[in-house]
Amino acid sequence: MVVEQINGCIGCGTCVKVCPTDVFRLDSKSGKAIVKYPEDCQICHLCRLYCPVDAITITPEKSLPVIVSWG
Amino acid sequence: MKKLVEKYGFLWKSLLFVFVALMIYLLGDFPRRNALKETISLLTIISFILMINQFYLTRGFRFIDGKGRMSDIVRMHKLIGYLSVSILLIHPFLVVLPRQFEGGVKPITAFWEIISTYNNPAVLLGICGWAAILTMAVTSAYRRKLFKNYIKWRTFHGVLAIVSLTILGYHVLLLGRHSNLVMKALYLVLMAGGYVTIVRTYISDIRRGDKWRIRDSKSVEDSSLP
Repeated sequence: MVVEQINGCIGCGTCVKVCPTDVFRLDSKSGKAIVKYPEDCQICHLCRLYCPVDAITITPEKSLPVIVSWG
Repeated sequence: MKKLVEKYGFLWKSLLFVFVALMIYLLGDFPRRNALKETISLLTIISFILMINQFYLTRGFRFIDGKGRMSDIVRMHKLIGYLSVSILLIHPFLVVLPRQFEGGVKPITAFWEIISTYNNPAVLLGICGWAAILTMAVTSAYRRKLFKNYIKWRTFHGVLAIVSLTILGYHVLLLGRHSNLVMKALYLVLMAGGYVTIVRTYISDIRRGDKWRIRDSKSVEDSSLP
């Protein structure tokens, strides 16, 4: 699994919106994000970068440095 | 040196709570992030533990320890209180600060997203707790202007402390990044112990107050006799 842990999720649903491969869902009971389809993750890091509380941790072994434009 | 240890010996015992929390943090299976984020997390954990510890740095502490002058305990209570409340007050802003140095969402956007999300009660509890500790800090700073009667002030401060720590405790249990089972147990045990300490002090106050009232009323009756 690529998404290692989701700690401190506030349930804003940003990860659900930004994920291009639709990996996340909001749990109806807890109102927090869950990894519903881990096999679809393409390790794009968008969920981690756009999570307002930085709740998502991606497995370091499968992480690649993110290229950020400075211009 | 020996005198210093005797004078502030109570402080070492209370720092034991911080030590236990740090051990849980170090030994726990938490994902490690960059130095800034981990420092912010550690600062928040230590501040919260010190806030709970404030229950033990009161008159109630003498029931447990029996040592330490009350003036020294109060001095430490004030110092630790203002320090930890300051850190907890800026905690919502510290959470989004690392976003300034990363790609993706900007700190202001992240902050707005946080305070406008009410999918679960955790954020709302955090906002209420923040307001409660702000009230506690302001009333403590302007105590002499706001409260003429010391007993009323003490009761107000104690009740507000119990309310705010309960709200913040629930927020931490629901949202805390490092709130695993052991950390949750530590928070709950420390908070329960703190509540018992403060409630016990107030009950003993009421009992003593009743005795005084009876004694005063008797003396009034006696003085009214011819």
